This record gives sequence, C-alpha cells and structure tokens, in this order.
Amino acid sequence: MRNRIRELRTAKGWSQADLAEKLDVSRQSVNAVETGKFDPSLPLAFRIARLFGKRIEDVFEYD
Amino acid sequence: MAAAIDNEPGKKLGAKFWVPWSLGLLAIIGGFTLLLMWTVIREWSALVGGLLVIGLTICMWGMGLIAWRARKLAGLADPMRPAGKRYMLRFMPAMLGYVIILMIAITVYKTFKPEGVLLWAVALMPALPTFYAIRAVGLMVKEETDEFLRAKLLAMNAWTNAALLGVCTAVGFLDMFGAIPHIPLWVVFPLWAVLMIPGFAATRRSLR
Repeated sequence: MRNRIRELRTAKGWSQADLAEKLDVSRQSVNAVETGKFDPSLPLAFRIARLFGKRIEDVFEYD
Repeated sequence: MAAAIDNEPGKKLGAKFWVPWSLGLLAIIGGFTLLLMWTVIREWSALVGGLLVIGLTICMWGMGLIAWRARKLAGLADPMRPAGKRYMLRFMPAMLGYVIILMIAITVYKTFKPEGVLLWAVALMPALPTFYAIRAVGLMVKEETDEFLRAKLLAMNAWTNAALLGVCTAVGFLDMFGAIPHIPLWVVFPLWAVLMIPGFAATRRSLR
C-alpha cells in the first residue's frame, strides 16, 4: 500500500516525532508506515487521514 | 531543514563511543565468567556465585544505561514507551529477585536439609520470580498501544519461543540418548532470558 504521509507531513513542517506525538504512536511506527514497511490498521489510517484533514483514499492508495 | 523535519533514523554514535563501550562490555562479561568459573572450580558457596551474578547483572544494566544516556544526549534515542518502562520496572527486579531467592533457597537447602512440604516450598521459591518475569513480558505486549511495536514484540516473542523449543528438543534428545550429561529443566528460564537478547537486538535494529 502506498501513502502520501511524508509529503503531507513535510508540507506541514512536522518531523516524524511531531507526527508520532499527534497520533499518540511511536516515531518508529510513523517511519514504518511512511516507508511502506507496515500497513496501519483502519482506525490508525483514519486517524492519520483526519489529522491531515483528508479522506483516507487521499492519503492511502492500494497498489 | 529537511533532515530536521524528516528526523530520519540512521544517525549513529560512531566508533569513538561503541569501540570502548564494547570493550568494556566484553571485559565485564569475561571477568565475571572467569570469576564464576573460579567459584565452581574452588567449590565456593552459592552465596559467592549469587553475588557474582548480581554484580554482573548490575554492571550489564549500567552499560545499558550508559549507552541509552549517550544516545539520548546525542539526540538519537526515542523516548521510552510507557509499556516499555513498566516492563523494565517489572522484569529487572524479577531477574534480580530470581538470583537472590535462588541463592537463599540453595543456602537453606544445604544448611537445614528440609524435608517434605518444607522441601517443596524451598524448591519452588526460585520459580516464583520467574512467573513474575514471564508475566512482565506478556503485560508488555498487552499494554503496548502502538500496533506496529506490538506486532514487532509478538514476532520477537514468537521467534524466541521457537528457538527455545528447538534448542530444548534437541538437547532433550541428546540427553535421552546419553550423548550429553543430564541438564536440569530449570535452565530453560535463564536460556529463555538469554535468547531474548538477540531478539531484542534484532527488533531494535529493525525499528530504526
């Protein structure tokens, strides 16, 4: 699954640690999702999308 | 600016820190191993052996603390998760308690030669902290709210248990066929704890 998290995050000027804090997850988790090493659960994917004010399909794309 | 925003992993403390740190760790492990072998050869009491194991445990904690502190000062360490903190506060005292209670049980057994129910009580005493330590591992998985870290922890535990099962099965057959001297079952717990170390190291590497 591909995602636009890095792009959306850097556009806001947030570090991975900043995003992790806002999502209440670890920095490693943000890194793993961002780099496609780990696919988040639906609840986390929704939280990420909502944080950026986007729809889930605007952030995540199934390959 | 991109580096600050990305906060990418990969930055390291470097050889200036890790070479002396590794040499120090090797010296500690080597020194305590030699001392422990010496106590076995000289047939010193369980008290001396136990004190040495406690000393080794404390030194290992100290080395871990030095590495963590150095990484933190260099801005490389991620904050410890609450579940991880609680795990450390449960597991480490359990391990220390295991050594202390084992030492007491051996001393009581040798000194008073208990029998019957008392013997059962003395023999089972060292197993109690191991239950607490095993519970600490289970609770860490249960209490970790980060799904990625929880998945990593579950995988680490599965591999550790698989390795333990494999080693114990192989050793059990070697024992049954008389290829090796009999090994008591209590070694399974320390072996499990030892097998967790490469699991932790591999997991930490994969988390960067």
